[in-house]
Amino acid sequence: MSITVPNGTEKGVSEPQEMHIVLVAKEPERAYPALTLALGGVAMGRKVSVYATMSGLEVVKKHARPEEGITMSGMPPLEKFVRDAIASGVYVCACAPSADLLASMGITESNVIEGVKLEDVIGFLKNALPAAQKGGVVLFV
Amino acid sequence: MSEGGRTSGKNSSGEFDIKRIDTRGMVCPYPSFEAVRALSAALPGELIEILTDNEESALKSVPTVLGVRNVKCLVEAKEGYWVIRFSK
Repeated sequence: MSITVPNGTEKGVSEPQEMHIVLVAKEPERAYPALTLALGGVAMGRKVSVYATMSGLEVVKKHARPEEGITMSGMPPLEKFVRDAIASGVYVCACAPSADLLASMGITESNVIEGVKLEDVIGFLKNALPAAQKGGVVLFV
Repeated sequence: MSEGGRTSGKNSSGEFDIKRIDTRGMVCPYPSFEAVRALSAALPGELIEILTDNEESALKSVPTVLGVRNVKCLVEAKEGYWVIRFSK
């Protein structure tokens, strides 16, 4: 289901502030906060992007059942967070220097969650640098 | 969990029934996220109720994310949970 979340841009501000999150870990203690920030950012009306790389690539892999992926006691499966983030307009991508390297890390277009894009570092920088220049937030988790 | 608690539609008088979203048991940021999602899907004038058992969400987070969209809400305390009402 495609969902458009209305932006919460305050009066007089033409564009929502952007938040770019780089996720380099798959441990629930880091991956959950990254996706919680992403959903929270959307709720606050911000434009949010998540770049998964290195161990963080595990977060964008799809599973037959979300419970087979990253989980944490008392929380929904992380795959639900990722799917809800994408459905609400968060740009989620898997980042590596090349498609071959991504494949060697077990990431192909066919095994990532629907809507996840494959990018390299330029794909990240071309969005994050202009955003930072305009007061956007870039976070490494 | 996000879809199952939703009820909405028009009644026999052609008026909107209240769209109720039960987020009880959901963790942060889902009550806020679901409130914004409901606002996005609502028609003008439609009344929305968010149920939550998370005090922080009820008293601070949901009113905040609605507030940045210039939407005011009323929060009613119930037995063990809160009802947040607002319209588009």
